Amino acid sequence: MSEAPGRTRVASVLVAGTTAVVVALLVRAFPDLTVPVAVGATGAALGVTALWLAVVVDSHAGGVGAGLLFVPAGIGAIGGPLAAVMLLVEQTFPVEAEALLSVGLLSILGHVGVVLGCSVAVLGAVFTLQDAATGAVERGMTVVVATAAVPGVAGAGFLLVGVLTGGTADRSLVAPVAGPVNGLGGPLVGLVPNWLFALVTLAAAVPALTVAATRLQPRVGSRQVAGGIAAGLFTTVGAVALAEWVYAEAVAVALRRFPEDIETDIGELSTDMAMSVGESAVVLTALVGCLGSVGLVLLLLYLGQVAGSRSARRIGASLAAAGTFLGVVAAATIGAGTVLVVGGVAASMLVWDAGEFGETLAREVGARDTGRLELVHFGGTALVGVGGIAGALVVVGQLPTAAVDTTPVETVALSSVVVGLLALVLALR
Amino acid sequence: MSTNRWRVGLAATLTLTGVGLLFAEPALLAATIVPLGYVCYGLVSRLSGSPQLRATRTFDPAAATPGEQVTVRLRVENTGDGVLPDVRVVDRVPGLAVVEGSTRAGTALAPGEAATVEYTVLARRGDHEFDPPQVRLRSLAASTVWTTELPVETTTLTCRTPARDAVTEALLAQFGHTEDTRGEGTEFYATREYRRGDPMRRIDWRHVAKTGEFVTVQYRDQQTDRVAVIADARGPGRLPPAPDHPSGAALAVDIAQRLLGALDRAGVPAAGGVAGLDPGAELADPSGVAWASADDQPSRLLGSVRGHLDGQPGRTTTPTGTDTPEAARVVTRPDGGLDATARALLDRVPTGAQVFLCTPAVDDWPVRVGRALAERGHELVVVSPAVTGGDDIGLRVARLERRQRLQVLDTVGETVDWTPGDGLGGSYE
Repeated sequence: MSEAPGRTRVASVLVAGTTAVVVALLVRAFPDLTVPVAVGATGAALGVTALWLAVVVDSHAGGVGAGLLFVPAGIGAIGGPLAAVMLLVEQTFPVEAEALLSVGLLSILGHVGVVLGCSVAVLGAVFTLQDAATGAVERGMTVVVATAAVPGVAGAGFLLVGVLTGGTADRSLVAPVAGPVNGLGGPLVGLVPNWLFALVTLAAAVPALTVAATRLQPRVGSRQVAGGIAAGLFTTVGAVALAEWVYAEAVAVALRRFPEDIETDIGELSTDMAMSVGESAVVLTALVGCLGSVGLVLLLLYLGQVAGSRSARRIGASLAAAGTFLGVVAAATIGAGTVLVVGGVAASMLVWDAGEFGETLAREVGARDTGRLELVHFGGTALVGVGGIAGALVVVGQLPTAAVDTTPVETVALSSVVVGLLALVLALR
Repeated sequence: MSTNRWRVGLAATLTLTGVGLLFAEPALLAATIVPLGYVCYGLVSRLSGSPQLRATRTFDPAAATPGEQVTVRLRVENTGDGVLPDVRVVDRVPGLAVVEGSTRAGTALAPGEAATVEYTVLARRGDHEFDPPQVRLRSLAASTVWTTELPVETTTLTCRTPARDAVTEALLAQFGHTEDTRGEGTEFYATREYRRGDPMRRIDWRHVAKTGEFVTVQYRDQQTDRVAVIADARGPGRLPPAPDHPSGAALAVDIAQRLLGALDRAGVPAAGGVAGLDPGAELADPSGVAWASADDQPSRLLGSVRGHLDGQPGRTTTPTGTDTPEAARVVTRPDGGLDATARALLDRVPTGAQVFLCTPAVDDWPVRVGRALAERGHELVVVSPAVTGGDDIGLRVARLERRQRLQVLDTVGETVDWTPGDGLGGSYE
């Protein structure tokens, strides 16, 4: 049974559109961050889609699809910020003087903040557009845990084998199976492109996994849990099959990005790890980490729901507003233009207002024929935002260059003005 | 009532101030003007003066028949001098199904402007008291909220069985034999105590003159009742298609009662009966049939049954009127699969009478009874109220099956598919 819409159409478009514009402007201001933002945003969108599958497609196939999508979602959640860090490390290090180390670190932090902010903003915007149903977050957590359980157990087993046998599970368990499988599939792999091979494998796997989930359900009790376990099984097999290649690529990327001074150390460390625990165990651990990051995000969302007594629908716009705000503030610390900063702050306030107002309106009168009311309200909000932007730009324009960092008196004066205004506002309330 | 809606601006201000000081960034400090501006906006935004609103409600039609659709229009006008930027109206419907439109609306109203909430309800028998509509006003920033009820003059929707109506007049014009056939051969049968409403011509005035007591003369009326009106009030028809909708059995009894009234006005003696009453009910025999000849005020009998059915939850009794599933399973019988109720009914119908069978046709019982009546030489007219409500797959299948039954009945008599409030449908060819 479908629920009534949780937000009006105008509000949803305003939230998503404003968020998209701010994210685009941030990426335009920092072109180097295009790939990390894209990775993070894609992961966020896939995560919300997985939630939708887990709730709306209330079946074994939905659980399988959700479990499979949580993997790239987790990779995006960690990959985006990690890509930003790698990029900045390559650009920043080695530093010329030790005193510049903290500056470099703050710069990395600022760039990571922009990536995280954009990812959270996109997460919130997609959450809003999909109009998350009641129980979406809780059900998503169930699927993530079920999906992560399989590689978690497998990874632990591989590590245990390594400890007990003194060798690696790759040699003792994987190699005996991999040989004949490679012999069978080798000619096929050579005939078709890898991406096509992967696509066909995935397309064939989903129905088979759905059947497996159907068989599993009587034992585990829930369609979503059964689907998640089946997805976890497929992901584990895939991770083990591709472990060697993934490990080698990851090491190669790290070697390219990090300074030459520590290249040797990285190479030795990676070899030691491969010899002692095996590539499969490392990749499985990384996989669990990715799924764990998704679980952590969902847990924070759940706690946010509970603490703020908010529905899943209201969380989306709040996330979009918070992400936009965080991204803009982080951008300001790494030299973003004043107009972008001030405009971005106003945009985040507009996003928050649109989300909260739209959700209340839909709940009280429904989502139909409310265009006039919304036009009046959002028009007022936008006008106040424009006035605030104009005022802020006037203030910044009046300040002498580098007023804040080289003239402590003016810094104190400006801060005092802000504190005074705050106190006035509190008194008025 | 003021809300703390814009306190998020205070959090944003503090964050911007803190990060601005930490990173010595003037743009962030200047940007605090934006969220502070919103906080001030929320503080100064008020509802202008004391809002004045006037509400009027109309019903179309003003008085309805059971099952008829009634359009309710609630007009809310801003009679004050100030603009009301956020007006949300909810009309409260007393237990009637809303089949079209919404009872809620939200808009902005300039002075003198009005908004109309329009929706359609399905009338049920009785007087329905509407509560005063609720109105919620908000300021432009939505930081001030005011909720109130608006007094309205028109509050009661009356739904009655009409004394005269076009539907039954049309039925009799098309199918009825309205000539008075009570001629020679009428034979004295018995006397009984006078009941209020007995025809004056039936009173034994000689007895009145002798004893002062009023008695009514009964003739051997089985042969003189040229018309019989039967209502199907069995269990399967008592389940309403959706909450607050009238059931098929209730509509069938209603149209039967109206037919008897029309026949009485035309001076045609007509017997009336109800099939499917609960065993042990006061008016019914052990087979669940209640019967009244023309002299025994069959219209009053149906009125009593109608009052009993109003607001009754549906009972899922088996077609035989018993609660024994085994007895309900009719496999093969020499009498064509007729249950005890049907046989009792057939025994009551006067020889040669035209029969109006009023049934929702939700199962095959009326088909079996219709065939049996036709085999006994009765002229049959089936009047079937279309039970509306919902568009799910189950109801669509039920409607399809009902059409098929009416098509079968059309081979043994005339059928009328009656939609309450929409007039008569055509016969099935």
